[in-house]
Amino acid sequence: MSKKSMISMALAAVLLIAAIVLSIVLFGGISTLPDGAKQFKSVVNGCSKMSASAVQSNYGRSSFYSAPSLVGCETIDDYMKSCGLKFSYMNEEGNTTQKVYFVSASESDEFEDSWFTQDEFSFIQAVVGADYLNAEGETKTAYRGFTVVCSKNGGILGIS
Amino acid sequence: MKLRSRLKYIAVMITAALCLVLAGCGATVDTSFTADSDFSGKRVMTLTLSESNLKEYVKGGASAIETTVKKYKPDALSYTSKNSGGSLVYEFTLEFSGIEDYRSKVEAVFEANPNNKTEYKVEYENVDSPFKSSLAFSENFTSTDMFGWLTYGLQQENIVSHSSTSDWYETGSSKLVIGGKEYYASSRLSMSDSESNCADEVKVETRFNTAGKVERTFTFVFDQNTVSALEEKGTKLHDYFSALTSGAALTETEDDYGRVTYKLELGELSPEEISSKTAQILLDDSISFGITAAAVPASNGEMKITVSEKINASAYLRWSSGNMECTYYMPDGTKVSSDSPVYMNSRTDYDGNTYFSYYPDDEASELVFSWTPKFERYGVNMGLSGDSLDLSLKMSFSDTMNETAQSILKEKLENSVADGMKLSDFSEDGYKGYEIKFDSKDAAESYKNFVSYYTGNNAELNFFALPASNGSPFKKQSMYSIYLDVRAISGNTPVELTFNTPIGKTVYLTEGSFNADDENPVFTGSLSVTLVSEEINFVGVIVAVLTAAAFIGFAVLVLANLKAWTTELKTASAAAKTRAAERAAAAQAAAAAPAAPVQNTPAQSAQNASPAANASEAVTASVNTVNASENTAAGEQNDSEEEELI
Repeated sequence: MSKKSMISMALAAVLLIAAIVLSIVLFGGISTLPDGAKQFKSVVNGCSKMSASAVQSNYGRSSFYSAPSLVGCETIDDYMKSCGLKFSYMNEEGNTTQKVYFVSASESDEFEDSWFTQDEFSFIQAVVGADYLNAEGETKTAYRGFTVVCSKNGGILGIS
Repeated sequence: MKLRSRLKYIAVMITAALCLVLAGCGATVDTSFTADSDFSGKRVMTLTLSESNLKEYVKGGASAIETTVKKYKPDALSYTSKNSGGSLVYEFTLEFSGIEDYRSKVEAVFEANPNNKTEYKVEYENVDSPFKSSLAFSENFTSTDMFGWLTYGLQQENIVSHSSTSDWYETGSSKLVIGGKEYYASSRLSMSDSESNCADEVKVETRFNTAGKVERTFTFVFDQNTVSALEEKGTKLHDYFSALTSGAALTETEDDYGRVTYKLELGELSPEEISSKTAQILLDDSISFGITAAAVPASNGEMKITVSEKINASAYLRWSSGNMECTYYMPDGTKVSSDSPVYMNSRTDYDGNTYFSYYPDDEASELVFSWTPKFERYGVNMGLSGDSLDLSLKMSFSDTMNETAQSILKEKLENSVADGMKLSDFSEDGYKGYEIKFDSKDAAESYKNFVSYYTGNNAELNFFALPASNGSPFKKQSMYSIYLDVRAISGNTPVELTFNTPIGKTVYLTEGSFNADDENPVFTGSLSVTLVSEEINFVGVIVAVLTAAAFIGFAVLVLANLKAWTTELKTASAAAKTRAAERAAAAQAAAAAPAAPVQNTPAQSAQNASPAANASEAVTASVNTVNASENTAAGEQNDSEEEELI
């Protein structure tokens, strides 16, 4: 093969390797979400899509906790309430949730309830947004912070 | 026993005879009191001394009496003297133009006697309103008491030989005429004439605001029978109160017990206006009202409010005082001062507001309160500066607030601002105030110090920041948690919240102690909020661009060289196949006939260096040794072409 061909092939190989490495950095390194946050995000998305399996598959099992029962849930509000994703606007008649979405999460070092131990549980501080229609037909948005208790063995144990 | 009884009877008779003799041994004093409805008139006191008494008891006779009268008579009295039927008659006249003039002249007459011990008192009431017609007059002395000056003169001149000059007078007849009507009169003049359709109750409610303006409401409660009686006499109470004063709102209500209430409300007025309107409504020109305010030195922002009140509703009530209650609503947090001369009750109304009350007498009273002025509006401004919190507190008051209160607030604030804080003033929407910017390096500690200095209480401000993510490589997020307790400063007053979003960032405020949807969100007492700050992650964007560029570069290179790479690979592949075939053939030939020893030429020796050349030579040698040199030359040419391609 000619020298030109050999150089161009080598350059292509370098670019390919660089692209693969950068992809790993981009989607693997920079945007790391803790496992509990990923599962919580899935729960939120599951509520928005009203998918019981998408919600329940993210819950862990223990003698104290189990996935919420979503039997009879017909609206996004029903799903959210069953999962503990309660917003104050839900207390007023005529407000209907249109969409619920995950905004952000952060791992929390401390939790005020000393009953939990850091060895067995991890804690996520998460913010969730919800778009809803009020009684006048106006679209409103509300955000609320939640504390998510996760098992270190995997799965959400509770949302408050 | 009979003898004893007779002796007792004789003793009593002798004593009575002596009394009669002694009583008739001095001057007789007759009184005629006449006054019109304005209490303008005269009091004439006629002193009569019989000729026999004059001769018996007075050294020097009538001329000595005359000399004494001229020398000791007070100016308030005029007199004439004459002989009438053998008696010496002196007529002393006290003229007056009103009740106060009369009182002052009575005082002058009594005080003309240096030995006076009489506590003289004159009471007079003349009220004529639709509710009450009352005329009353009384004195606690007689006309003989008013001749103390003459007694003193007679003693000083020593012209009366009677054992006691104080017994020298004898009370005669009395006549009392007021307003053209004659009343029964004894030695002490007294009369009372009244008719009433009075109110059962009168209340005066006064509300003070922080600007020093006053609202006053008058409440008159009448029994339905009284209302009817007044109406029969031509006084319709609703019409009466409507016409009483201008600018007052009137309401009329009747309860289940037949009581009719008329409420007159005066809007926000100055103390001077309140004073004149009160006098107008309560039908008494002597009514007055005033208010003063002053800072209390070394008192941590305390202010003394003194209310001067002279008030009565005697025109409406049966008694001049007693069933009239005055209540005062003061600015929030006001207390009755310990040095208030008037005792006041502190009570709470149905709305939970504290008020103070007292029952006034006819005298002027001073009500003293203490009040610590407070700001009326509060605001919290927040912003993020990296991982730090920018915090400022805005406190303001209406620009109409009492100036003393304004200066107290300013001074207290200035004394509470420590190092690292900045104090500035502002004015907006009719409010004046101050903004305290806390040290952004440690807003929590700075804020706590301020609250401690300003209120003497502790306050909480917890702030912490955490790295956060939503899973996207193109967004950079941080999560903040804030707990701010302002109750020590603002109490239950709602606090306006302003959050300054940093440029280039989106901030999500979570719901909780305030409604984040509100255009002007407020919270009361404490603020608890989690917020997420989000901005573009440029590192992620650059990495994504580089990744895309690498992929694109790779694709371009591959597409551009694909044909050439394919051709060259095919050629190389074909050449490799040819050589492989040649080697296979050579190997086959070598196996069939062993080659004769041949002396190698120098060119052949050089060719032997390459295995391929050796193989080719071997093949050529076996086929045609004559063409060996030609084959060698061709092999050399092929080798040089391959080197060029490489």
